[in-house]
Amino acid sequence: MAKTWTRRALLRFAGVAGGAAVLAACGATPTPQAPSGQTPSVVATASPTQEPAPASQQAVSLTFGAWGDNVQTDILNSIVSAYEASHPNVTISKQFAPWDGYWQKLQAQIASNTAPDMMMMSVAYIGDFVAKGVVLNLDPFAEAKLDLSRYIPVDVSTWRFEPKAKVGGKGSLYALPYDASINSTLFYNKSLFDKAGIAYPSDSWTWEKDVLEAAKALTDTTAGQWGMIAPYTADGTWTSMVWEYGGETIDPTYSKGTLSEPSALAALKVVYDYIYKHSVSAPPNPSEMVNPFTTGKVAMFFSNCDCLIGTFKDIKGFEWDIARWPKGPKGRTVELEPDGYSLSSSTKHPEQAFDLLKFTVYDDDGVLRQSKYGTFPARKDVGQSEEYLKSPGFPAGKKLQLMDVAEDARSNYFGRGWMEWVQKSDQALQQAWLGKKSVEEAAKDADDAITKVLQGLGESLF
Amino acid sequence: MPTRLTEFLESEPVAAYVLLLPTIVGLAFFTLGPVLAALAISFMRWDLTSPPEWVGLGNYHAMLSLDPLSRISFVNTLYYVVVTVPVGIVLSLLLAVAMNQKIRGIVLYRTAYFLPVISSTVAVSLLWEWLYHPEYGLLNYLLGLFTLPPSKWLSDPSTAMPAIMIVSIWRGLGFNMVILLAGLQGVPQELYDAASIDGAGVRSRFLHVTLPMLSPIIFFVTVLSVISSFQVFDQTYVMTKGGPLNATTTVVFYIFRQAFEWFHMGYASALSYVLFAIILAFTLLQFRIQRSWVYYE
Repeated sequence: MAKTWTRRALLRFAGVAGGAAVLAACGATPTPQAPSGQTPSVVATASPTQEPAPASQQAVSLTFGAWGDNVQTDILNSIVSAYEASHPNVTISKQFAPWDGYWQKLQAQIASNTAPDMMMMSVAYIGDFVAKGVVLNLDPFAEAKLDLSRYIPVDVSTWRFEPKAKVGGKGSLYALPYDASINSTLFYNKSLFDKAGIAYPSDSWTWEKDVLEAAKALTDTTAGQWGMIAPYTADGTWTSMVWEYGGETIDPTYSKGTLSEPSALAALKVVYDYIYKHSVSAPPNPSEMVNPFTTGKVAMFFSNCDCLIGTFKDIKGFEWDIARWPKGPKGRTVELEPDGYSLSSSTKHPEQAFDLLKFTVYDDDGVLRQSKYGTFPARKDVGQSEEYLKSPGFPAGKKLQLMDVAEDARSNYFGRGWMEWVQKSDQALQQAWLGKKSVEEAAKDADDAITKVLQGLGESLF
Repeated sequence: MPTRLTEFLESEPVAAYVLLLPTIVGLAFFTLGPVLAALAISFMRWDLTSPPEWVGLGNYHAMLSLDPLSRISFVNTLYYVVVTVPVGIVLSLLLAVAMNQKIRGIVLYRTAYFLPVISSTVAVSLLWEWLYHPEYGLLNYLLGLFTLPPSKWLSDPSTAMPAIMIVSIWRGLGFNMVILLAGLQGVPQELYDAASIDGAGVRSRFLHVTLPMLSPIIFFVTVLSVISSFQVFDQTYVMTKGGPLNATTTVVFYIFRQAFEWFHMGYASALSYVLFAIILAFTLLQFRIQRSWVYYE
């Protein structure tokens, strides 16, 4: 009698077969994922009997990790295509992610030894990464192949760290910059200024006189119009004001916060007074989704990123431009924040990865492509070129930033624990911006938070 | 010819275990494993890339006595649970009763209430962020139409958490409604008939027939709601990033921040275990007191 498959028998067979498959999969060595640059892979077109290709032509696979919005990703895609076109033996596997997810992914990759060969790097985290030894020391390559004087000096020194240093500024080079984003940028609404008959912001503007006067004249609460969005955002705005008043956020030994000192406090009070004493600022909204400046109802916007030029390009309905950052009693200082690229210290192809790095941030092709984004290029000559300044969508005032950059540009104490102390001090100061505490109290809280982070670097439990 | 081996392999117990194997392997590696690993990590200081360092009960001690923000996050979460669970269940119950009618288009209504449940929390949160905007949001516009003062909603520390609670309750209504509805339809009609013969009005029938008969389901829904509301994260991450001024920093959000923004893996693991202990305590408590109010036939 023929043995037919009963349902029961079929289930048992499926179970046994499935179980066997699971056990087999568990036992087998995992196959390599997308090329991670861990082992050189010979191009598969060669038949087994051919000799392997000579070393200089050997196919190399690199991974390139980066974050960015759509515009940035397009630029990176074009850079990668251009590089691959001129280097046919190199394949680049791209790992682009939005800013939020990029760092978590990178940490996990580093922990599992699959870090990308070339990774976009932020000054926010470079200090920590150098301390952990996960980024490659670029001195040997830079000395041999690069002329670093092409770059804006502070843009390069920010990436230099001495062994065990808490903050950068000198020592070995651990990344190369691709831009010199200016974190103290004054955007202003030309149409509103024209309507009120007020002269545009000029070189000589100061915070307590010219900015305040213009803001008062341009505030009309009945029409929902504000003279400004006060410079209360972290990193760049009040930071540079503190410098302009002769203060510092952190003391020279990089171990405690100094926002409660009179000179720093004076700067913070100016911001506070804009909001609560003179009522010329749009109310701070921590969960702001849309930048009020884009609605055309705000005359001046003190931004902590010139990258917003890209976002503002699409503004219709009013004219806008960039002006020079206003001065304080001690002069004018803007904050410069580079973004750059590092190489993984565990990369299997340091030479090739450095070649890609050089193409992206040093050679003309890569630098010009990147300059289309809007942030100030790291290379001085490109930043001064007509081509850059006349890029479509750039406001006429863009070239004024050259002067800001050339004069006193400083960077915001980038080093270990940066993200943590900036976030915590920002939260502390928000108590003042939201009117819950006085500036003195909030500054004290901010100092306490900063001090705790800086003194607990690497040792702190939370 | 069936051998003893094939007989063994084809026997029912073996087939059962083999069919269970994939799930067991998955649970072991991807759930139980990480849970046990987190327990071990909670006794260490570790930032993912440096070698981990044993600190014993240091993280727990820090949580209880050194870190004010951890206390704030637990209090915020408790506030959230104590409001959203009762309000959500009462509203779902009323909704379920309302949906339990044989009117035309009732299926459409039920679907409409269930839609928020299956929508992504991130999408819902973004939508409500716009509704809550102090200047351009619809809600303040509607308040203005009724000459009511506008609220700062998510921008003010005192209104931010209630704003998030509203979103969560609105979102969770449909889920509990569907479960309670199923329970409602299981109540035998004879009980209602007997009650009305005895002179019970609508309210009486609801309190003395519907509620007792539904009590096992209400218990089930309560246990689930408490557990899931202790774990609120999506709304606080998308809408307020824990602010303003830490008003909406819930425990899971704080765990996320400690682990993935500041890379204090040990501390975050310790926080997770304390949260687990609290949820466990609440659940056991509920099981304890069910004897006094849940009616099983």
